[in-house]
Amino acid sequence: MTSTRSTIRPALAMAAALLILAAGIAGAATANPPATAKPPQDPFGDLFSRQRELAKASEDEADPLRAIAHWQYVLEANPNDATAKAKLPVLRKLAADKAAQYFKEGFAQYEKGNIGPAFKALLKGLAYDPSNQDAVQLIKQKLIGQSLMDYKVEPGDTLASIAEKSKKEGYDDPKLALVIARYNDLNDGQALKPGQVLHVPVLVGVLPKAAPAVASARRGGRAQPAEPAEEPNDYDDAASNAQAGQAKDLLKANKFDEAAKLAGKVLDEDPLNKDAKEVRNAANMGLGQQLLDAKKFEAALNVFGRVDATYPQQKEAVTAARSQIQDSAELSYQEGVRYFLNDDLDNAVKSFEATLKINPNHPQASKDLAVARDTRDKLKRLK
Amino acid sequence: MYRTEPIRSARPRSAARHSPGVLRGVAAALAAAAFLAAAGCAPTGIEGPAGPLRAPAVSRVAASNGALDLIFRANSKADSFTVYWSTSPGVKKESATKLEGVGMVFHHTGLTNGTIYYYLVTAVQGGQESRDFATISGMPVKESERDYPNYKAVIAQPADTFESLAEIHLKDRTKGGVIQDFNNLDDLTPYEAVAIPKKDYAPGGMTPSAYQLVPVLTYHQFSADKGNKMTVPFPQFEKEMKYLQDNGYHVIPLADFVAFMEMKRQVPEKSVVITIDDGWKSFYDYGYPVLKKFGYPSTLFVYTDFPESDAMALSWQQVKELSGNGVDIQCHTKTHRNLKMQKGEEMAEYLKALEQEFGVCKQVMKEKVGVTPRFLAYPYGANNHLVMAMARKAGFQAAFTVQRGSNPFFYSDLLIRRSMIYGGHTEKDFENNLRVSDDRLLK
Repeated sequence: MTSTRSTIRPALAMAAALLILAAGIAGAATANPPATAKPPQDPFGDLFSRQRELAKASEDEADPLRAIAHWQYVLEANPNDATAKAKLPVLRKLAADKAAQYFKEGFAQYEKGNIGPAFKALLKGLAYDPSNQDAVQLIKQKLIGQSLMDYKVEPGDTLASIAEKSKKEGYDDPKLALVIARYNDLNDGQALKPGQVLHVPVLVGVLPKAAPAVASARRGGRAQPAEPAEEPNDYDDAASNAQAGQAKDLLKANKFDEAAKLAGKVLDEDPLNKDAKEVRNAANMGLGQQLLDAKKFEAALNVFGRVDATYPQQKEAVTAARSQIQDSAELSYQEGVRYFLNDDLDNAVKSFEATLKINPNHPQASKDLAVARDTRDKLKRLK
Repeated sequence: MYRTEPIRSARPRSAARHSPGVLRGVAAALAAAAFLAAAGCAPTGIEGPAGPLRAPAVSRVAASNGALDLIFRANSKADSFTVYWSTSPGVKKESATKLEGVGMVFHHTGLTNGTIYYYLVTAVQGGQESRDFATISGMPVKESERDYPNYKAVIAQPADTFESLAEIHLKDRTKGGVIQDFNNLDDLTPYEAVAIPKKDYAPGGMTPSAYQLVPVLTYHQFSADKGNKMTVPFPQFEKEMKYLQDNGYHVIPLADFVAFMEMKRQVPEKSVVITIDDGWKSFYDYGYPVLKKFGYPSTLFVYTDFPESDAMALSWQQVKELSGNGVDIQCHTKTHRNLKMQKGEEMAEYLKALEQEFGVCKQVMKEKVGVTPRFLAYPYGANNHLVMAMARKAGFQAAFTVQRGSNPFFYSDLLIRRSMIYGGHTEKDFENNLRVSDDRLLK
């Protein structure tokens, strides 16, 4: 393992490791010799040196916050450290000056409506003074995007007039005033008080057909509430829904197997796709019925088992398949009994075997199969 | 340009210590069962099966002038512990000094400073000693720590980790990574002196030339072996968690991350958050045991109509059990509907739907789990301005999308990015989601 970190690691650890090793070797030769690790004069001396190194490295990286933190350690560990004493006020002044310069520039750029330069300057300022919450809030609330605007009620204002004034926030229709009412827990007809501050949710991009409002809101130099960017999303709703639609078409065409497989594929990608879930259940119900009709009872039971237990008729379908398996097995068993009574032991054996294939748990077939086989073999030996 | 190294790239930590997949070549399901057994976790539960008397775990060795304190973790089966000690490594019962009837703390005095003492410890129940044993060592020192106004300096003992030092000295285990960053160390070496900053010195992770990013990973379903896009097989998940451990990442709680986003907390330079969506039972069976093994915090976003609605969903009892075991439970709405306004939906009806999706989710969480959610994950990541405003009104402090990418502090708290991890992702795919610093917006 190579690391620049390890170059700063103090000799103490190495010394301790060597002592452990030495103690192990000595221990092999003599009984319980003491493994004495002689710590350096000051066990914290290497840490002190390392913090000095880190302070200098942070200065080299022009990172005053971290340089201050490491020099501060050095000074607290040794209040007489002349370098730390000298460096700290200089670094603190540098950080404060830089922060003030960038914040001033950032707020000024914001006032001019220059969003990009304002953002960059405020961000740089925070690298020197992360405690400036005004800068943090300006970046997060005004420059990155706002979902809520504050509106101070003026004399004569009504909810409808406020909505009218909020067109750039997406209030294209006076009826949308109900959003402001609801958001601020105002009853219909409740009088507004001048000076009262209302929260106005931004509606740009909210309504399915709000494209023109987005366009107008994006004009102008200041940060306007634009629709949240439609970036590629890992949930591909459109693709999943399209495939679920195709599966539905296959279902309508009674292509149950294909429909179930396609719906299953959609659910692998989007396990909560309700359409796909519905299609998969319906398709498996149809496929199970087809298999029942073809007297493929075990296969039918297997397919019904893939349907959600809460799906309508699923339990009945499973019961029906099980019942048909039992009926079919019973028919085969009765046939075997008839062959047996007629001394047709070869066919009796075949029928009992067929019975057990349909229903391996048939209560009588395995016992009767053994008797039939035994009798047949004895008769063959007598012949 | 994106950088995957921490913002102080001039002094990076060690190169990635990749270890070959321990499960390679073994039937995945068997490997999963073996892993779970090794983790002390039953495959379908949280508590491990009843087993033989186990050796005690030593949670800490505290050194002082001429003395060592061995502090054991609780072992419900043991009546007491037996300690064997020697000043030679490889301590043997036959040749060591034996001390019986030791309680939860072994106060060993009259020792020589600078000498390493080696211990072997067994648990005792009904006069029977455990076959398993724990070994540990420690070195008494004249001065084990120094306390300064803004820092502590401590000598690390063998049982210490950065996290345990943070827990002991800052009462905040999640600050371990910050201590590691401040000392610029790859690993904690026994008997090495370490500085512990008592206060954050760079909340938000800014430097003049770069800004910190924190990736938030999202999982959905897990399985024993076979996966698909939304289902991560157990062996893949285990490898990914090990990758984080081997490459120096610190998995931090969601609440710490949100405090970082508000510029109110310093988190380790290589921080990652783990979230799981929906409330699938497979998280309980296969995901949680892995997180428990690695000691990683996680957040489960549950939509409250899901538990007990389906055989593949968690029960509320299981959600509560996970919560009791440290999994952070948060809101994923009531029904998991797409929160964007749908065609034909009236505004009044839409507003009511949003209120219910948020309000009912919070109320049911309170009733069923006893928690008050503060964070929301948008179903499908879908949102708009009104959804965000309504989420804020419902009292959510932060909300999460599934836009892929890591987060600087300055992103909107209501549009936090998360990267979905899929079944079949390669190590490279996984690594691509772990960007921890960037500088593009400063240029």
